Amino acid sequence: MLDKLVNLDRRIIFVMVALAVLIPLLFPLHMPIAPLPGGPVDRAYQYLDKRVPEGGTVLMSFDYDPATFVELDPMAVAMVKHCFQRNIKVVAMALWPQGATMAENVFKMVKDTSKFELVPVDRNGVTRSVVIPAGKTAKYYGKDYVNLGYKAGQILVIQSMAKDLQNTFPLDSQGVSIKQFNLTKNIRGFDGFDLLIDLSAGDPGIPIWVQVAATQFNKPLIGGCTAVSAPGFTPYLQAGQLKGLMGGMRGAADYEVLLKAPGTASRGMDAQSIAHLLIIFFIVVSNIFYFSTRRREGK
Amino acid sequence: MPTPAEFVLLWVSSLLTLFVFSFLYKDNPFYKFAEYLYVGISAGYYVAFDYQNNLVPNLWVPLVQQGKLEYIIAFVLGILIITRFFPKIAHLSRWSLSFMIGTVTGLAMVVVLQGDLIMQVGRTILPVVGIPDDPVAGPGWWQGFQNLVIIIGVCASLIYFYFSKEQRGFLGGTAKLGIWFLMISFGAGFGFTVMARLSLLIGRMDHLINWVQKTIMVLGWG
Repeated sequence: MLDKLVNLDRRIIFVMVALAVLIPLLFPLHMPIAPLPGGPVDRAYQYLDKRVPEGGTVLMSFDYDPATFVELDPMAVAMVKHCFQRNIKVVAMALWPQGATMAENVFKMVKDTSKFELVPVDRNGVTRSVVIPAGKTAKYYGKDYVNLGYKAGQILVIQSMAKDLQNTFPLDSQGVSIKQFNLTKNIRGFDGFDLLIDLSAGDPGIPIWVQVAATQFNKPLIGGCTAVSAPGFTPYLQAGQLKGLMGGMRGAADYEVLLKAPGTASRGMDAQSIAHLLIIFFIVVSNIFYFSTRRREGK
Repeated sequence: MPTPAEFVLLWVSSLLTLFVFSFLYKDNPFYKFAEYLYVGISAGYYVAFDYQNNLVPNLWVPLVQQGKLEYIIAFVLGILIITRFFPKIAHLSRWSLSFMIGTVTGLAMVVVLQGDLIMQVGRTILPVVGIPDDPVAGPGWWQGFQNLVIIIGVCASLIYFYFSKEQRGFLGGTAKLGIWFLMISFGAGFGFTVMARLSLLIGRMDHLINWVQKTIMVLGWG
């Protein structure tokens, strides 16, 4: 019996993990999500809520691609909603090639899941004619939000845009001059932003934003990252180089709870918790088997 | 209700997800198909993307359309990289690589020293007594205790990597304490990694549920 369990076919474990994820997604348990007061996510939320003035401008860098959208999209959506709720303007950019597309997806998700109707522009920068549904608030491209798109160059881009945004990003993601838009025409560099937010899945990401924007230019910076990289960025938080940090789906769920706008991350927390309990069970049981086997072999 | 294009895309992405998951049972042609498709599409996508987003705006437009001749240097350095494919003149590519490595090192050295080393060392010199109570951070004694843990943890972990003297006595004991701190941090890192991988699985499962629900909706069964 013991031998059978020790040599258990790993595919049985795969099926059990799959069920542990699938069942809570189909039948939500609504387990409580409690963000830690004063914790990394709470600090991020409070900074955007209290320290960024209403009508201010935030720069949000989408440094990730579809491989990690599950973790980073929910936090991006929650933060854009938070900005729009407080009438804060959002300038999106990307240091990753697919980041600009991720930003577009996030704006679309904000439109689909909130009271905000996003009004785009055409390829000449002219606002499209859109009927605003009753109960929705219009947010206009060029006035309330802009997507600058992707720029190759990593650290060079940050250093360049810190002093000269107009030359670093002369065109937005659609090829329209950023001088055409009210939101961006007067922004010279980092001075035009009240807060920088980096959503990062690797390199280039949070480290270079911390090193250049937060340290050299002393700009307030909030980070959002995959769970894998969250422990590595905690020292930046402790040192005050990051004003807040959201790690993985849990970080996104905490932000959604603080914003009182449950989204995809909150929905995934039941599955996450049940799967974690199952993995803890596996670790405990396998250790019991391991030590039992060793004792038996010792005899 | 999804549009026809969204519906087709949903089916393609869902089937490819199942093809990849099939590897968990055993290696099979469906998994191979998905793997090769992914590699091929990624390579093609990035070649086209780099051409449109890097080569054209950063070289072709300034050099050819705007007549900025200084961009010839970038063009020549770029061409020299390609010489790696020809063994007889492959050494020329070192000029480009040297330029890139030198530039990035020069830029990164200052910011890494400022942002990582100096700031992190500075913020490890923390008070342990006389800290005022804070409504968010908690009582002063608690903050002092947290600071003490950081100071001891950093020092003990650094001593573990000090190899110029045999690790015995006080040095050995501190190094052992350092191992404990390192193991706890590795454990936290591993826990976060498990969480990240499960998040990806949750994302795919959510996608498959969405696929089934939309299919039922389109077929009018629900």
